[in-house]
Amino acid sequence: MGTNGIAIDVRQLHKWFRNNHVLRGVDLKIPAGTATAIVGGSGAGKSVLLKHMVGLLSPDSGNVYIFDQEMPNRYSRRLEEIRRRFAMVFQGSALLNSLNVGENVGLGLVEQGRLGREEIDQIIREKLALVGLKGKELELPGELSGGMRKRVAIARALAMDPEIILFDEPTTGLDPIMAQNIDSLIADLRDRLRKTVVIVTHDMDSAFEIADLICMIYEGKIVEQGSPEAFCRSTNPIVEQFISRFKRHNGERGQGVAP
Amino acid sequence: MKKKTKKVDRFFVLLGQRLLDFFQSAGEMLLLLVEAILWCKVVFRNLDKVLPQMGKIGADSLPIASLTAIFVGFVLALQTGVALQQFGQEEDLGAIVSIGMARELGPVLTAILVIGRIGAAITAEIATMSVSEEIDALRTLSINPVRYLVMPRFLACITMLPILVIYVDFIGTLGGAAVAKAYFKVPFLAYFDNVADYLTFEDMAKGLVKSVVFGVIISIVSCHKGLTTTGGPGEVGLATTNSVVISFVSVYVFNYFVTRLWLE
Repeated sequence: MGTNGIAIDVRQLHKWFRNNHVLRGVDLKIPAGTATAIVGGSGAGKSVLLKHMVGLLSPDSGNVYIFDQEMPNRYSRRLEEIRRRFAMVFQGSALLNSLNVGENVGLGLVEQGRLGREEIDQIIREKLALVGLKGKELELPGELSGGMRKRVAIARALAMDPEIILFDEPTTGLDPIMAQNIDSLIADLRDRLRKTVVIVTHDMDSAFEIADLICMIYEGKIVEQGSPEAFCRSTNPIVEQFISRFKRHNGERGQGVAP
Repeated sequence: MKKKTKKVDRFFVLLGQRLLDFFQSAGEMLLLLVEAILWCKVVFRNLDKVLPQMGKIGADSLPIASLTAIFVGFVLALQTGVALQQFGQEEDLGAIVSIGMARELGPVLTAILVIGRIGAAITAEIATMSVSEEIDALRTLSINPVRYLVMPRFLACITMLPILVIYVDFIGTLGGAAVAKAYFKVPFLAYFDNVADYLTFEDMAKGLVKSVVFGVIISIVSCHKGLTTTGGPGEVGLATTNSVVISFVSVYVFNYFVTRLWLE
């Protein structure tokens, strides 16, 4: 862990896709051992920012530092070493359809080749049990529901024992009960395993339930960041507009987040 | 006048863009080839991925390769046999069919077969993985997609294509023998004596070298098109079509230049 307690440090990040200037100078510090939610509307650049954090995209200008180490822009051994500190749960789960659940969960470990088959099988069983999918090793991803696929993806991420776990829209496309289950699972990971968690979402219920820090990205820039309570009290008109529906619903139900 | 100038401008912008795309793709494919070759050093640790690909390209292609080869052998013997009959040279059918198969038809037909059966499937599979973020998932698990996906397909293509070509050459020559016997009354023994007299090791070797070149083209084009696919399912179909067309054209073009090289 870095000496300054910052797991991910994004500095003046810019990204263009042809003529589309998606990220316009993002500055963001994510403290280690906390859960940070990055919220924003569709097309605001949330997922693009997340992919820069794990080195799946290279910035056009600016830098990303992971525990004080600069993320290399090109494929290298150092990039692989930095990536080993990460795991990512993708929006569509991104399970390999040609492999069964157990093979998907153990894929990273098998390819690393550091552990024996028995140890890997033990980890697979452990992680599947942790996400409530005990005994599902032999099922194929195509036979699972959306929520189960998400949980397998979380088990796959946990199997690598990463320091940082990134979640891209973890509750999108799930029914409210399953979304609640996934939220609880992520909150549990943060509390029990003390992982640094970064969640990209536009689901404000999720953000307020899980996050210690909420950042809002708008038109490629971070326009607000703070604790859930501070975020709720924000006078920034963009934030107010974004969370107005959430506040109204919670107000109606008498469950306001802000103190 | 202004409208005309604008149209000309747009034409050159489009032309420039196409040229840039072409050179960018060619450069990326070359880099992918180099990377795939470099990853071959870990082939023995990745046999669990290489061997199934070899099975798909080799053993699974045998039925369709047999069917294609035998009918091409039939037609080649039939077409040339009619012409040779006019000069009373039917006994030379063995040489013509076997040399034609070994030098040209065997490698090219096998390449076309593999493009349709394997190249398209490789692109569709990898492109689907790309659009569903499975490739990104591999990267985040510190698994290099070139090692995991490209190198096994590259190795399988360059090793199995020559073996398939030998098989296609053999079956095609057999097909020619059947037609020579049935329509031109050339005994099997005379046909194969003729083959042995004229078909040289060099003819076979040239065909095999071509097939290795075609294996490189098919595997790299198919994998590159798959890996660079973005968007949704529609783009998977488009990438597959592009991959097949580019592979076909590249095989025809390289076939000419390789043949030309040997004639000099």
